[in-house]
Amino acid sequence: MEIFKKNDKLSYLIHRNYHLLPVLNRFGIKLGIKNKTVEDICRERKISTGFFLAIVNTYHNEEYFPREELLSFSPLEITHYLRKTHQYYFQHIVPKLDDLLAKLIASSHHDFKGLQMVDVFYKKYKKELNQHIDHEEERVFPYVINLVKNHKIDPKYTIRSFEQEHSNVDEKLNDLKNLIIKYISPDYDENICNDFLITLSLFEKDLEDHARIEDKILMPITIEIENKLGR
Amino acid sequence: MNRKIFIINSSEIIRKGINAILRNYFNTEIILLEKKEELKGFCELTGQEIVIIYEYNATEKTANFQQIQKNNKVKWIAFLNDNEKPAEPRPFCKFYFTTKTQAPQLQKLVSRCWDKTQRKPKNTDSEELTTREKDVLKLVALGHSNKAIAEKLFISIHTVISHRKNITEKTGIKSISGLTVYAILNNLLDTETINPEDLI
Ligand SMILES: [Fe+2]
Ligand SMILES: [Fe+2]
Repeated sequence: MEIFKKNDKLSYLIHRNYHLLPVLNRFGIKLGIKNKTVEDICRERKISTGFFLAIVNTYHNEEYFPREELLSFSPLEITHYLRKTHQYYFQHIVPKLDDLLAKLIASSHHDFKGLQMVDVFYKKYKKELNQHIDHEEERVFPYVINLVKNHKIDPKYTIRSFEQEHSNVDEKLNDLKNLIIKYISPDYDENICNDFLITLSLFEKDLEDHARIEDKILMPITIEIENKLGR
Repeated sequence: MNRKIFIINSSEIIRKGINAILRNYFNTEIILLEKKEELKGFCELTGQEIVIIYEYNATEKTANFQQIQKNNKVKWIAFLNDNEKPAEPRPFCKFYFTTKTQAPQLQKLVSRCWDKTQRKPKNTDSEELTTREKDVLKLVALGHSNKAIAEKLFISIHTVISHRKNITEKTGIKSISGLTVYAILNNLLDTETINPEDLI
């Protein structure tokens, strides 16, 4: 495990951990980065270097979580990043999983029942995920943004209710993985199944990181602002 | 219990050298840091056995790492510069080494820090669900609450909860709909009479 620094070349980060690629994209960074360092790129793209490094490092290592530092960043910056992440889920990951699961089921010869059950489970999960993210996009984030920009408290809403209802959306992904790894008869195309499980595992990890930023950073920062405004 | 080694030293050569010595001896995650302050980023760590190898500096005041100390079992090993006097006793640290220390000695030093009584629990329990657990699982899958299950099976809610915990541990599945799929796949539910899509 290592912690990336502002003088590291961005290309080095990618070589060390290519799972960071979608994270870079969320910051609007595209490849063709030559030998530029993290600091160069951040200056160029007008991203706060500290925020970028904190996000990249927490993503790179599950156990690294510079809470104090993360709490010092702007809620606007954070919601922007979280929104980009939601977009990535819905424009890329979920369609990819849909496609792979459909192919997986089509490749199965006999154990139709097992995979059908998995399909039902997956569809239900997808619905929950949709509701979860819709709620954040339509209710929670706009509330935070309005609070920061206009210093106005919405009498009908407080972030504390989000704190209570914010559900765990990565638990079911692990169930889904276990159902396939442990309990479905292996009567399907192995390569498709591997792709599906790998995509699922990456998604699970990404969601954990995402939820951690929501729960441990966005919420406390917003509560703090509410407190200051006398709530 | 999970183990971790932190190597904190301002010199990259020393950091990587210590790392090279320990890496081929311990199958533990090793984290290299430049400054003690960077430990702050690990405030979320809990329940781990941690060895921190740090650079002893007589003039530096001890930084505060309560968070990591409170939630984990932490042992400190000081790395002394050659011109530094041998360590006088310091709060967290009994161990130290210098550039003269041989690799096997350093490895011994670290292995003395690990708690030998903490052996990994053996996984002797069979994976198979007991009949009672299957009964509980069936009712969970059918959407019954803990209270309803307790009443149906004439057991206490507490027992139901403990069965559910075992079921999740054995199957690796936490959510109710996941358990329902499991129950259907293992023919614990009669899918002739129930439409599985309604249950999941
Ligand atoms: Fe979210
Ligand atoms: Fe969320």
